Amino acid sequence: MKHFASAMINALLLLLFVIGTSCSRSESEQNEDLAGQAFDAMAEGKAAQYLLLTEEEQAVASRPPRYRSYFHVQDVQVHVSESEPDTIHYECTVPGPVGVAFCIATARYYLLNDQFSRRIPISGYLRVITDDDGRRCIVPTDKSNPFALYLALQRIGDNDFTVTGTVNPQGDYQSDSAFVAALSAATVAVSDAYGRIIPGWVEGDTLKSELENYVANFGEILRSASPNLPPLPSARSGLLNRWPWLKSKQFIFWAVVVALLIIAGVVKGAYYLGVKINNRVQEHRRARQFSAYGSLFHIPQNTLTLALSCTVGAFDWDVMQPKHNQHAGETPDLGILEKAILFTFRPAVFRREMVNLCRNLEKKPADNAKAMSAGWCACALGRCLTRGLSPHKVQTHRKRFDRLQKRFQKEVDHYVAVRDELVGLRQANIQDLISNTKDTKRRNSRIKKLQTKLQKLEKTLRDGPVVRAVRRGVRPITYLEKMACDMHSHSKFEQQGAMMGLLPFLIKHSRHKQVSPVLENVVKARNEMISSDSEMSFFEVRVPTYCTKEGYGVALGEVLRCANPSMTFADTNQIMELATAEIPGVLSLLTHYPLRIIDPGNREKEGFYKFTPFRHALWTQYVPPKDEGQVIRRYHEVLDMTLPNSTGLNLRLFTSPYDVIPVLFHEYCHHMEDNNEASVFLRTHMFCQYFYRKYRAADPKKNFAFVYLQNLLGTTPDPEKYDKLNNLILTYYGEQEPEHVAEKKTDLMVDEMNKQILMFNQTNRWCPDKTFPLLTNEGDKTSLDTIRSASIRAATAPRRITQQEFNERLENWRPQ
Amino acid sequence: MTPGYEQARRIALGLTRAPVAANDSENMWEVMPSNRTVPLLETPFQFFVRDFAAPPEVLAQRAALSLFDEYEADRNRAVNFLLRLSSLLHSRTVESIETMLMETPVWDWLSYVFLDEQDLNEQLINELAKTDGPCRRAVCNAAKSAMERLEAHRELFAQILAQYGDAQ
Repeated sequence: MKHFASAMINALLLLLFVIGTSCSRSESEQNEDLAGQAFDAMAEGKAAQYLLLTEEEQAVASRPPRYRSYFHVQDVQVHVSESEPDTIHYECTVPGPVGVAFCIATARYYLLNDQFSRRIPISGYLRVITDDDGRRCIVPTDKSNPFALYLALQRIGDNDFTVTGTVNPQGDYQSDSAFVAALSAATVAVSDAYGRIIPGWVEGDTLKSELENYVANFGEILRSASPNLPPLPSARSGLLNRWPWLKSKQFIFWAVVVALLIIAGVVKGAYYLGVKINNRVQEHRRARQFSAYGSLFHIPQNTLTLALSCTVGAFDWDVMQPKHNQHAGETPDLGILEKAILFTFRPAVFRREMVNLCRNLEKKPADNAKAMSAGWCACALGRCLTRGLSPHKVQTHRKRFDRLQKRFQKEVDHYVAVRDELVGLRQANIQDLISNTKDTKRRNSRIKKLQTKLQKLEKTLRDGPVVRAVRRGVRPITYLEKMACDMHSHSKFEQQGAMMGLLPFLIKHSRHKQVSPVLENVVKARNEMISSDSEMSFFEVRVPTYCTKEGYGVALGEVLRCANPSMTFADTNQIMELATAEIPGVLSLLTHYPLRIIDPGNREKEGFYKFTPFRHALWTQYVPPKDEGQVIRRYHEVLDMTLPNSTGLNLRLFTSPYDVIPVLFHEYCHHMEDNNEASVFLRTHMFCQYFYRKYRAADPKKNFAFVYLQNLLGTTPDPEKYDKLNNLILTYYGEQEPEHVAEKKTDLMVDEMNKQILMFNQTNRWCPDKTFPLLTNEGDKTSLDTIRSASIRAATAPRRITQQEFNERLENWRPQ
Repeated sequence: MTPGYEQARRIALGLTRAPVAANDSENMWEVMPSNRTVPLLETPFQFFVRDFAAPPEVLAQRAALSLFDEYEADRNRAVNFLLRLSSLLHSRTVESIETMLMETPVWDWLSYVFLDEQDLNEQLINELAKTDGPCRRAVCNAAKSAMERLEAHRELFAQILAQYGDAQ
């Protein structure tokens, strides 16, 4: 902007200079102006007022001429020297006599005149005098001047026509002979005038050949006829005439220099302006995003701004700068989950924050809230690590991180060696105490030294290689890549978070040779995760319970993009708008029971669609390689599939803004504690009728449950058909069982499962000391309780409705 | 008749082909192998119950069409035509059958979209079995013209022609 401003100032100065020079008007300039005005007036036939004429001449000139002369002077240049302001030097061209004669005879001007009738250059001097009335007048100093010619042509028709009355003033003639006669008269009169005033130019042969040429081309010339003279450039209009110094080489040089400077300034200014506008647009976009994330936490944007500015310190985002100084402690701090979600959407490269995120990556957190936090931390870390990262640098960062890891491993080995030595010395001390040996002084000194050393080493080792890497500006992409691929060391949501964090960068640079191997690994890990036979593989939309629809829409979009980056999904914010408008309270369902997104590409595993009260998987956590490495632990993972949203939604439901809404309504009914499937199906059907009628763009044909029920129950559901609905539900869900029967069946099932676990524990040869806990109160009680409650709840849930309930549902189908 | 209903009706009857959604191309994000046997969009709306197979397309079309207010009038009209045709077949009046089928082309009403399968079996298929050759021929001619006219959902007419096509 500075350059632009300086260029503008230069241009302004130049303009002022030019204006300044033109404002000082001397006598010579006034005379020059007068001459210019006189030359201009000849075209309009009003030049006599500027000339010094006798009374007789004045009387003739003031009479309107009978014939218009079409006398136009061109290429006029006048110059007055400062030393002789009354003497004006002029140069100009006057029209040739042939053209003028034809114009007079036909009362028209021809634009091609100058092409076929040569113009005559005249130059000379004029004098400016002041008459008795004080009027400034022009007096030609020689006979051959354009004003004399102008006056002579003005008088044609009065005295010079030999055949009076031949020329028709309108240019129309009754016969060709009349026209030829008029033309001859005009030619004679004009050539006579030219011969008298500029004798050298009207010699017989020259005029004759020019006349023949003009007559030969008169057809073409005639087409360029015009009733008026073309606009003539003013004798004073040219800047070069006005300011002759403009023609000097020095001025041209400086003008070019200044022009180049101005152009450079303008270009640079435009560039900076473009950058500024772009930044503004980006900031605006960020601010809008930021507003959404602020609302995600139910925290006003200002508060969030202040909170972040206080807790983060040197934040570089303009929109997050505090408006005024705030004391720390006056504003609420954000938890790591909120920060992680924020950094996911607005990644930064502040090492302090990245270290904070790294420290919250937990291995297999048992707590759901911690797992959610760790997942978003992994995602945020991925976004932060790849922010502004060039794909060319991936390999460099990978190597540097590998070196850091090796160094860390060495330090760990050293620590282990020191620790072992210390343990050895202590054991020796104990031995000596037993054998009453007194020579322990030197050993104790050594122990103290080792203890100090160990403490130092522990302090050094507190930060793992990831934190160290981040602190040193290394971007440990490899770590996140491993996290995404390692289902043994990390929870699923952490894996998903790492994938979500890395994918935008990996997809953007998928063809880069340094990036493509990382992408391949992540894609492979994703495929393995989806194809794993645990029937628990899905992508989850986990958000805090206080999430708003805007925030949920953003988080849903993130998860969907990760679940299948090749698909085009509907606007998730629009989905959430629709969902919250048509199912008030749906956010409570979505935040308490995270949506699970499944990819139907894996339809071979029909398990996704089969209803089972719970899903159970046996996990072995180990140090690779499999069947050889050290087993860390063996444990159960049980999912309660009777809870809303537990089975997972086909991600293709999200390709349209409408398809998922009826499914959400179905789950919402369960969330509102209607556990009767017949009742929920009827409610959903009534909702579908309402919804599809309201939103014609939705496609009900894809909703098979609706299609079946619409054909089964009719457009207006017939209460007499309530039993048909019950039978349909029973076909798929089976009969309701009494509680004691369900309990007994569940106990038998658990016994059977325990038998299999016991058999595995007894026959297993891979780290047999690490056994699976039994599903008992003494073993894994949590898993046992989940299995029991889910199984009994599913078996005892009602599946029939009475006709009265059917009628009630038709009236009030929305869950209360 | 609203334009929305008109369009949905033409698609449901088979007079116009429904727009086909483009299949997802193979890509690295697709977990299933390329020789997939299950269409991707087959069952996105299952409420997680066993063996909930996709309904026949004509049922889906009927369900979608029945959401329009104009559907009931069309359905009643089709039922009336079916009863009339059934009685004509029963009384074996060929001229009346031909006149009726000319005035009310079968492709415009004789469809599972408007008529229940049970009614069609009782009123049309059974009556065709009982009636004489000329009457069957008249119905077969109408079925042939419907086959030429329709772009989809020609199963019912194909069934009639397969059963009685050589009646003439």
